[in-house]
Amino acid sequence: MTAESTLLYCYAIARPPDADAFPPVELADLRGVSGSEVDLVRCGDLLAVVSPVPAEQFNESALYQGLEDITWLEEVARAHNAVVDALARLSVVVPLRLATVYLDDHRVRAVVRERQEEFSAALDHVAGHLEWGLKVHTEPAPRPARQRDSGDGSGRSYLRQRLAERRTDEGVRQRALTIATELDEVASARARDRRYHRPQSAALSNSRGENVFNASYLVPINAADEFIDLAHRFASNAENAQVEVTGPWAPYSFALDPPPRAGQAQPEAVHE
Amino acid sequence: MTDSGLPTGAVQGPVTQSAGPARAPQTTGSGANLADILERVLDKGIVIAGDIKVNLLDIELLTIKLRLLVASVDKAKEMGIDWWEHDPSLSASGTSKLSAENERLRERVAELESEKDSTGLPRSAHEPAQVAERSANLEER
Repeated sequence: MTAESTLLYCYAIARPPDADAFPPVELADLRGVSGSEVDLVRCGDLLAVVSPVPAEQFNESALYQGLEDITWLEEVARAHNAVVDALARLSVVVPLRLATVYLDDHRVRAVVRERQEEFSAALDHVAGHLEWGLKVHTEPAPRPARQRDSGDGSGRSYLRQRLAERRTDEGVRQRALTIATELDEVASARARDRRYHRPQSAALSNSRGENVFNASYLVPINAADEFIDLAHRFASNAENAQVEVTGPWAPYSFALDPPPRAGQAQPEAVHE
Repeated sequence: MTDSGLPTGAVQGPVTQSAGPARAPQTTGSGANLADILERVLDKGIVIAGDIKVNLLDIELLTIKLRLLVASVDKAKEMGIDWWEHDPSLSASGTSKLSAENERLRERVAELESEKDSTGLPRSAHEPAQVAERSANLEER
């Protein structure tokens, strides 16, 4: 590959305890978004984690097309996450947003140097922690089969039945939200930081019930087991709701500090 | 991977653990579900300007695709797939793009109106004459 034909895809900024001993052997087999080896661009004690990508696949027009293509997007998103995830297990990292691409390592170094203070502050905030996700889904109560014979078969009878079903759904949702609020309280007490996310689409998350609560917690690495146990214990006592734990993630949701969106002091779902 | 201090069983990438009453741990193969990954890699993480610009237009196309996936915009919003509306950088550039377009449209309207004025057709052809007639009538009285 010639210099003209490749660009550098940048995944994350890392600050390993011993930058000179980095990368360790664990990263030797790691491959980036286009299958190339992952490389490091050094800038003081900060390392930009990069991999070469073919220019024809990552120039503006190619990205323009790629982002239209959900298959391309999924591949790149998963590969991006795989690199960031592997790094997060070996070093404190702050992930960069998908498709951050530079012309060459000089440009990467220049940008890292320019924003060194910001990166260092973000790294300080997440050091020694990983991100865990907690989601609460409703577990729809089984609806009693519509009894065609019980009513008089009129429209009114049908509507009465529909109304009863809707009341049941709303009750299920409210109970799930109550559980989410309590869960959030105990989880937050064991986390350094927390971010609320929008509830997820059932279609995208393969979940049966409605997602009423979706949040991330910045949990000390050595307290992760305790955090998971807590969520499981909580979940087993919760009726009519499913608690889902995801992680550990690199601290994506805490890379920006302070949080970018003011005014999100409460789970949004509660207000909706 | 031995000294990372991670909890055991947590070394296979982000996994989904269903902790609901069913208690059936779901490990989704290569890792987390797409929604969990997308909301992080697209909506979180530090934004720094790359040399290759992924601009608003790209994001709009992406969201159109995601909207298609979830059937409708309203459904998407209802389901919480609406990060494009809450991203400060996106909405800021969206606003400036809109105001730029507004500006262009205003200029074009002004151009068109001045063309009308100079040809004297729609607005200026009759009114001044009528006004002149009226004032003439007044003078006669």
